[in-house]
Amino acid sequence: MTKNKKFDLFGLFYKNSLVVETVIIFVIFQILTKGTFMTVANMSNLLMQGATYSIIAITMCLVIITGNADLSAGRFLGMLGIIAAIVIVNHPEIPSWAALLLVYVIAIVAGLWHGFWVGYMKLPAFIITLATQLLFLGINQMLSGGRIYGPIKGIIAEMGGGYLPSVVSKNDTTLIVGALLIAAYLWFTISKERKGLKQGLYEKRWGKVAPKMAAICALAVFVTVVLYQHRGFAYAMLILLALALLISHISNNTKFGRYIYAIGGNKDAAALSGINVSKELLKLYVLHAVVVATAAMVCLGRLNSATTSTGNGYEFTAITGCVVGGTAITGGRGTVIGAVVGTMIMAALDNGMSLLNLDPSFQYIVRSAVLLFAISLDAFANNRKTKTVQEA
Amino acid sequence: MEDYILQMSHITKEFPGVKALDDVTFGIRRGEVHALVGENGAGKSTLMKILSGEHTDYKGEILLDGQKVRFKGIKQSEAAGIAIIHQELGLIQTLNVCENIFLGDEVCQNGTINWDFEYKRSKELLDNLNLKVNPTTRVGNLGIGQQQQVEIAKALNKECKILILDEPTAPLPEDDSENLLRLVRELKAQGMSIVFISHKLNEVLDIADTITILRDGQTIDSRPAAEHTEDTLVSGMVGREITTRFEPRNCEIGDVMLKVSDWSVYDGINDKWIVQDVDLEVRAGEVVGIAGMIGAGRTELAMSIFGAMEGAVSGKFEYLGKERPRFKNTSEAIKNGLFYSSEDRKRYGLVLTSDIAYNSSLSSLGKFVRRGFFINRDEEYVRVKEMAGKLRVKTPSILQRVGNLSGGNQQKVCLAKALMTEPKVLILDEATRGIDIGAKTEIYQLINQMTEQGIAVIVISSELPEVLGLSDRIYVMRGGKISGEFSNKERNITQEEIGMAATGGE
Repeated sequence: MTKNKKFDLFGLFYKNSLVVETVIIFVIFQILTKGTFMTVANMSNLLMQGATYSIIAITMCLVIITGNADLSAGRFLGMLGIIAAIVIVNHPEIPSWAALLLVYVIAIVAGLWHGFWVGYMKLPAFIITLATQLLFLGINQMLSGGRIYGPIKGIIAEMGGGYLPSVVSKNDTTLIVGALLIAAYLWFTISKERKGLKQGLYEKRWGKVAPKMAAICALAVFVTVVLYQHRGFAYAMLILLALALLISHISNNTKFGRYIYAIGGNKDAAALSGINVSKELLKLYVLHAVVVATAAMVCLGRLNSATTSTGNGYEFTAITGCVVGGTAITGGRGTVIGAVVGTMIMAALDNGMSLLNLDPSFQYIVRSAVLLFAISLDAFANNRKTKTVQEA
Repeated sequence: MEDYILQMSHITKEFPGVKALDDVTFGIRRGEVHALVGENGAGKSTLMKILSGEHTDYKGEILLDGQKVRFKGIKQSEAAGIAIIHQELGLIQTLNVCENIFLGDEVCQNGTINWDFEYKRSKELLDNLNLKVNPTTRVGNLGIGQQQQVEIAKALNKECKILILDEPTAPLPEDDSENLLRLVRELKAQGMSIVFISHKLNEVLDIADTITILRDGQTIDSRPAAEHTEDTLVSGMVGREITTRFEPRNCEIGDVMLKVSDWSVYDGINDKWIVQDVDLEVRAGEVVGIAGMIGAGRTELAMSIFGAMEGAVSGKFEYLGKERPRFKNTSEAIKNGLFYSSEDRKRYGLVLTSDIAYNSSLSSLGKFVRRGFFINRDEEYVRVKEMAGKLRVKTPSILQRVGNLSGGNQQKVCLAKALMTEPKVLILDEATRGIDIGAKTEIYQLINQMTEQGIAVIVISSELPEVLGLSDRIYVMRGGKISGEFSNKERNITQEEIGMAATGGE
């Protein structure tokens, strides 16, 4: 009996591992930094830094769910940043929205390129994106010649560094947007739960759902209040939120989204179910490229300048975040929201360690430990599941 | 006192929420073939997994040769002389026969593998089984029957005393099945004790000395095989009498729905024709059976019609009375009302990690898309529930993961997926493989219902009674060609006639 009890404890921990990890990390850093970590300014800063990584993670997790990968995202982001910055700095007569448009066109072309090789030529994504990673770095260096380009103006600067304007009093819009978001969340969750009950999909489970809702609302209130005290919602955060919700919705409620999970779960069965695997992968890589391009603009706007080294290693933060957030590296399982939260946790880790002025070499070691922990947690839970699954 | 080599007594095993085994007692005598029968989910596999040490968390005790044992893993049970051969073969396709036989207990000398010894030993083992295969052949190049014998050789190499065969004949064509049964008899003559799990009752009666029936995790009966007939086995397994397995059909047979002529498929990798000059047609409301050995080209024929074959396909294609180009891909075929349900439901049929609703609607999502983009989940779930109810999928909820369902229920989900596309022509490839009699009978009834709605059904099956009992017309394939066509309106074709056409024998 004691054995069973211990297992349940692990199950509870696993299901809520994101929450537990967040709490642990926050508490540890709060103590170690003697209170600097959870200041209003740092929290706002953390969300701004995390936004770039988290936006990449939104579609990175879908790519991983199909059983593929994208190792080029970081260098791709760097290259787009350089291109946009060069256009803005060297050609002030070109409006910034045109630069933005150019970036998205390039993104679509790059997405098609990836999709062509991975989807239609059926080559391993790992190698293809490793190849394009080098390609993007090469183009980046060729265009920039190692120089720094900045400052950035116009819409791109707003995307990365702008905040919601105030109307009457300071940051009033932030309060309104926050309240609207919380209300919308409550309304959607409750009506979804009600509908499920009506359809007889599951038993009444308010006992489980209500605490989760309460926790999410509390978090949302906390974030809103913190931001309200500082500079309000940044556009970057709103872009992250909107993209995450939109793509999460797409992944759950469109044919395209379903097919992504099917391809990752069982590629052969997907093909025989009438799914054009090549085409779906092409679509996914284009979507991914567009989302990474958005991350690139947010990043460029926040840093206010572009260098050759920008973006280096971003894909690994995003991939790590996906894994921490419950995406199976073998494909088929995972959620967009989980990936975003996981990536934010990784960003919090980076932020906290920087505040502590930890030696960079030590930071790498900590990150490695977290990644290993997340993967073994997932693997362990999986093994346990296969052992307890009802046998035929 | 009878000479039991193994006794399992009062075994109880619980999974969360289910009692898989409830006080089961099971004993094997030395040198006998002991058959274990029961419907899917009766607990046969669970019992065997306890014996092989895969499940360690159970109540009850096991006596092996009079000694109390409790295995903690396959290694231990193997060391004690118990070998299990699963229905899904456990060989590594990319390694050769010898490497597979010795996988896990390689013979080493000074840290390097003693290949000379291994090859010699595997040759001996293969000779002992009368398997004429070079030990250096890659396992992937062997037929499924041969692979199974390699598995047996692997078990023999471990000098096992008890051999467990879990549905060994399910994937085999008749010929190979007979070979296997002969092999089982030889091993028994050599003094081996064998546990034989099978859904094919005629085989069980043919080969077993003792038969134990399990139902819902309980031992119903354990008696000498001579006291059983197929009927007593069936009623023991399902707990009720099943009388007619094939109900007569009297629906109108309509127009030709699908017709292929001079249909050929070329396999570029192995440089040979896998389907050659096939003419085939199927009409509305008709069930057409395709019989033949495994490797006769039946699956390839079906897949090529469905647009799923890569490689050179040639031939004339008429669909719904009009000549048209062949389907380029599966989605085109499905859009036009043709569906193929694969023989390998785990590999090609289902996304095992996802739920029933997800799998059922996967091929027909277009029907639920509203406002051009988003799926209307309400409609989807209503439709899936309706379909699951109609097919009698046994599940607490349509959000159950398909991987957790029994084989029969998984097959029903495959059928639900097929039916939700509202097909006009449906190809069922080995739709009843490895599922129990109750579920089989339900699937036969479903096929009858489909024909009443005017669906043309093509049934590919290695089980001759099934083909004979279901089909209005039967094609027999051999070596990629149609070697016989029989009208079976009166259900008067015999197994011998089909067998002759399938093997080319006299």
